[in-house]
Amino acid sequence: MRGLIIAVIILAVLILIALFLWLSNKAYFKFLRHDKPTSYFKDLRYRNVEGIIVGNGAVFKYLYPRRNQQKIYICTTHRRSLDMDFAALKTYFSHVKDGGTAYIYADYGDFKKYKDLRTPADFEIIHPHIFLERQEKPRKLRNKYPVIFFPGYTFSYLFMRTFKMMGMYKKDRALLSNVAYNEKDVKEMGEMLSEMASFCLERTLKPVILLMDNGDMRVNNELKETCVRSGEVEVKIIKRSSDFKEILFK
Amino acid sequence: MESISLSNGKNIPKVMLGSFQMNKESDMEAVVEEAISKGVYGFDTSPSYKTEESLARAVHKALSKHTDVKREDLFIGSKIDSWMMMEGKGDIRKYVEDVLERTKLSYLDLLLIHWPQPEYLVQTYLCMEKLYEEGMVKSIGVCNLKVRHFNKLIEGGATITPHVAQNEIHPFNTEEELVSYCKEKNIVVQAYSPLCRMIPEIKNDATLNILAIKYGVSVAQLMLRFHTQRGLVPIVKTSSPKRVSENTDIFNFTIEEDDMKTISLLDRHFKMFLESRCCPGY
Ligand SMILES: NC(=O)c1ccc[n+]([C@@H]2O[C@H](COP(=O)([O-])OP(=O)(O)OC[C@H]3O[C@@H](n4cnc5c(N)ncnc54)[C@H](OP(=O)(O)O)[C@@H]3O)[C@@H](O)[C@H]2O)c1
Repeated sequence: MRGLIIAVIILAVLILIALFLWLSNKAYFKFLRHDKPTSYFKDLRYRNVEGIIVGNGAVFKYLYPRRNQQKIYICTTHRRSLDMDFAALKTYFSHVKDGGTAYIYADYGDFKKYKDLRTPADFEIIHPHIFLERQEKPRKLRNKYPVIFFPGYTFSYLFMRTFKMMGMYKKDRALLSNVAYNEKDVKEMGEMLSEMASFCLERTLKPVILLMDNGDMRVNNELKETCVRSGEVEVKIIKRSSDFKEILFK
Repeated sequence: MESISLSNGKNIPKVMLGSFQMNKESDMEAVVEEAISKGVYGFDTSPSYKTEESLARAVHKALSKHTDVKREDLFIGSKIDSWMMMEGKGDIRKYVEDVLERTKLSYLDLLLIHWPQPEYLVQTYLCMEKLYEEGMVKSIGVCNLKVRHFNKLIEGGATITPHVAQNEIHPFNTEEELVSYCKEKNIVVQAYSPLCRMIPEIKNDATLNILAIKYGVSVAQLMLRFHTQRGLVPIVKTSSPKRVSENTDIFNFTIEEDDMKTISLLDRHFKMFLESRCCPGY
């Protein structure tokens, strides 16, 4: 009898866990549908906008997509590699008018952490030809059930989105990334940012690189130096969350 | 219908019919039949529209009925899609052989690169030059290019200037820079989505409506005439045989110079097909 009760309890717990996972997976896609840019063909707004912003982390926390009278096309996401930010820029820059601005937000800490990350959101948001060209196949099952295959990523996204929805990120906060300087990483990041800047310049967009304030001054100084070498690039340091709004919507 | 000469001496009809989202075979048959009986001989298709075969079937059917019209009288253009450029790494011969086999056409009058896929634009174009020299395609061209892409082709060693450039052009997006570049290089420009897909903003535009009343034509006819007067070849899509007549019956009036300018002033760089959303890295 006792064994039966335990079995029933275990079964009930398992059912609850499965239900929780299923609902989380559903919630993930519901949020993502809202965060992801709309179909350009059905939605005729957001053409010839003033600028675009790509980036992840803090910028995603503090900005709401497409809630700003269509001036800046917000194309940011939770946890995305800089490489995929570039891919997002390549996919969405045509929403911006000729001579408009491309804001590229980058945090050295995130650059190191998410270097080779591919999230299900990447495959949803970025044009499939980018993956086709790189011969990277989207793994269907992994993208369909992120809660199982990327639990850390999925739950952190759900928490962040929920907090964001509740207005928890509205308050102005100081931002600082304290990640140790590594010459190779900084060089690699600088080259990528400079490549992104050249991409914009070739398409008559004005690149503005937004760097998260870093405890080690060398990081941003070197990044700045590399970016500026590629031409008319503006580099700004983000010290507070309110800086985003000030720079983008002033 | 009258035609315009391409730089290689071939002729292209002054108005062509498109087939994007022409999903019903019965519509295709009715439209092609109506077109051929009205002397409208230009047709545009693409692998991505999935209309190459239905268009070819409709053409073969119409030709067997109208024995006075020959294949040589028609002008059929298709395209090379981005996935082909990527899969073949620029070598797109097998896709052209395949479309000819599927459509039972012995040649295409025009082969266009659909989107300038950055990594393979030059290689694809060089391969098309070979197919052109072999006669598999009678003319070659490009779609959706900006002047910087044309420069890339030249830098990449292209020896044949594209005969045709097909871009989205309508009163809300007049592409002055591209049109004058092409004029200078003797490239005929085809205007796709020439009616801006008849979105409400264009259908209800006051200027266009006033001018349409002035000339006693429909807004669609006014826009199509605007294109032909600029020397462009509009590619207009309709699933209705009745509209085939309406859209091609545009040569019995002339828009005055001032009115041409007024229509040009509607330009606001508005595009239906946002380039980077269709072709990342554009
Ligand atoms: N190279 C490229 O990248 C590219 C891209 C897009 C299109 N194209 C080519 O260009 C062709 C035309 O472009 P499109 O189809 O995008 O747009 P379009 O020709 O500007 O507009 C087509 C729309 O207008 C309507 N229409 C046609 N004639 C009309 C009239 N007289 N009065 C009122 N409405 C009318 C059609 O409805 P009904 O069908 O109901 O008549 C259809 O909904 C395509 O079919 C395709 O072949 C090429």
